[in-house]
Amino acid sequence: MSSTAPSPPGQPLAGVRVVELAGGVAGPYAAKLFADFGADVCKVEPPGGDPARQWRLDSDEDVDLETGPLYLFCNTNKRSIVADPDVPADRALLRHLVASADILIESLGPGGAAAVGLEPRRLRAEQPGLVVVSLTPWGLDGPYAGAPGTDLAVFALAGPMSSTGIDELEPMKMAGRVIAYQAGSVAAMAAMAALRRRELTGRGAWIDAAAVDAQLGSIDRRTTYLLYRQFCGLGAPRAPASTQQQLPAGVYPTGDGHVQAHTISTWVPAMLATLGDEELAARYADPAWGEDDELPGLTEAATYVWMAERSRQQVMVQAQANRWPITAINHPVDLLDDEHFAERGSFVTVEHPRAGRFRTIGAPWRVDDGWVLRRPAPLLDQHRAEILAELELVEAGRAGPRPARHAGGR
Amino acid sequence: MVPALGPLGAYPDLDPGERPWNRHSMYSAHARNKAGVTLDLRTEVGRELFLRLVEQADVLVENNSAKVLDQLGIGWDVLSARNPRLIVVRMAPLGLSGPYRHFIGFGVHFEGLCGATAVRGYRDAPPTLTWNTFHMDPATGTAGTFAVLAALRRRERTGVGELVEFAQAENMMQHLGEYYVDASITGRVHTTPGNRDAWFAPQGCYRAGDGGHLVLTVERDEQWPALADELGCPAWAGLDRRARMAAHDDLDEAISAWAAQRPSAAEAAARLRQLGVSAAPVLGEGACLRDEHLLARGSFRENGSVDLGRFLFPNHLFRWDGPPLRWEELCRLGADNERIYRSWLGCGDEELAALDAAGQFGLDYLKPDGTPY
Repeated sequence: MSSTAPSPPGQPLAGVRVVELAGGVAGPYAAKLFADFGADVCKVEPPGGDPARQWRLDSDEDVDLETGPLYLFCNTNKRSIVADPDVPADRALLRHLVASADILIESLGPGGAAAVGLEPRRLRAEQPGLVVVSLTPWGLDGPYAGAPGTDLAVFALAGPMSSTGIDELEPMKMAGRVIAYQAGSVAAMAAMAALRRRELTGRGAWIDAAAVDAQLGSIDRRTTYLLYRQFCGLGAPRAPASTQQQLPAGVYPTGDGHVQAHTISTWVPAMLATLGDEELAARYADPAWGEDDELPGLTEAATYVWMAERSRQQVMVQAQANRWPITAINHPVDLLDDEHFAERGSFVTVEHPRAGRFRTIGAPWRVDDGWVLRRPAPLLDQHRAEILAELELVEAGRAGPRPARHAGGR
Repeated sequence: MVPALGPLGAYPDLDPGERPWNRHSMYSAHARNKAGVTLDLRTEVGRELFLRLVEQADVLVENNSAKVLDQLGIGWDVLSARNPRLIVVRMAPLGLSGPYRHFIGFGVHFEGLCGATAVRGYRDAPPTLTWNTFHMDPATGTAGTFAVLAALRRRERTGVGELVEFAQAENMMQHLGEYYVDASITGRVHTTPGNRDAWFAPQGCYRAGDGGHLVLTVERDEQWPALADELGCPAWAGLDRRARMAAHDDLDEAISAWAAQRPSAAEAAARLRQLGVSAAPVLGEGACLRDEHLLARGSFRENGSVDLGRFLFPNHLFRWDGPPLRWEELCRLGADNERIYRSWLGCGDEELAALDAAGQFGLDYLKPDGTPY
């Protein structure tokens, strides 16, 4: 175990060593979850770096390999070393790195790991405790295996894109790269399950983590709709652009933006308490209010008027005080100053040698001695010298290739 | 007009059956490999029964709003006193502290609050549209499992359990991480991009000759010349990423015209794959269940229950070369009471009868007043 990459010894994943041979979002995010909770993660990058180093949220921004927001987020607490699989010495380095690891997370595609000398079955034979996670869009087999596949393509084929959006227009993607993040979350979960089993049995695993499987098994809503289809022969439609609703539901404008509302009949008292409209309350006092054809229109009008006079924050806080579930629709930038997340300390400040000082979202969940920002995302090849030194230290005093660490020990 | 997931459409053959709660599509999506037991936490007998289960458990997962556990007298202090090795995962959407900790809502509400809603949707359109697909719940399930496994691992060393405060919104916010970092660095207000990508171009969703849709993305410059040629626009072959982004409207027009000439979305996507471009048809549920790739991978597998019948479910979230993952029937409300209370707690006939008489057992979902729905 590295002595130069200390993590607080009490962290849940302290002592776990991960080699990341992946780029983009899914693989690096899976490895980030390990790193943030205490694992020592070596990020192995090609000579040009993880391609995600270039990605920006504004297409016209200059490309500085060290300052991309997605790269900065997905690679906290890792160390970087460059290895070029076309160079024999670097292949040997890769093999030594993997030999020192508990988990290898790779997204080189079907056959890709074998092509750089890391054939998973052979690795597992030599290192029975190793956990190999092969993360791909389509999986390691099947007719599309090896085809290019972005998170959008995966969402279209296996996810609920067909029912996302409005029916007059084309199907619509999700926010940002959340589909790729979810694939990474599933891969990390699978790797943790394999790590637990290895600690109990000494045996590792080779995991086929396919983004399509993560989408098919996503309950909100692809799995639900696949069942719905079989239950009644119907597909889940995209929503019509406008629907007449009995009670306020959906997105409503406020004085300064929008809020998200949802109202079912049990929340009518909460709604009435919030709106404070006595005429409206009188009509709802009639047990047969559901048959009052004018009521939906009157309720909608009262809601619009009440919300137009307030900010989205005021609408949210006043409605929630009455237990009427309404929330502000914020932009990501608004969250940085939001009082709830400020009080919880949800955002943490990062000092980065090139990007300067910025804030990022902190712990995904909280436990004692859990999520810690030990170091910002690494510069390209930043830790080459120390990682090489560690491997040489380990190799000194041993004859021949370094044997795999025995699994199961602690 | 068919309700998207109305009370009728959600049951097999549109029939709620005798016990609808065991037949709903959304419930069925996450009901396998579990045992279903009942107890009444509002009674002292039920509370004690629950705490006896807790004594035998490794993990308790709950997603009630922040104050419910303490109101029921089963807060962390009570639980950990009864079982110091217990891992408790509390999934209140906004966490257990902070001014919004008691806020209520569904996933869609918290996606709005956290910025996800503002950055999805038709290009430059206001967010005044309704959606059928949400991200917070699936993100919670998988990451929550990771958190539990990590806590189990640490328990091997420490010998004691722990409280995992899993604020579902903060976990979902991870999946938008680059937006907060970008906002912090630039102060930018992010808007709805439609189906475009912030960086790759072109990317979009286009309508084929059969009325179906397909998506495509050009991720790398070397993928572009073949597509430019296929579109009948070889003069565009030299455009780099930034130039393609600047010309995205024109590119969309050309791709839309090309797609409209293709016989089907599936054929068009196959042609694009041949050219080395990431593409896929947008599959409805029926086509998804018949897709050749997914079928070849064994992506669907039968399961069900005596109340539900047998249907195809998506297979496990991942494959591995370890022992087979569990694939047992869907649990039904209260159906495993006797088995679990006997095997976990050692209850005998007499005690089971007493618990039943005390109103702890049932197969029916009850209204707050205790009458069946």
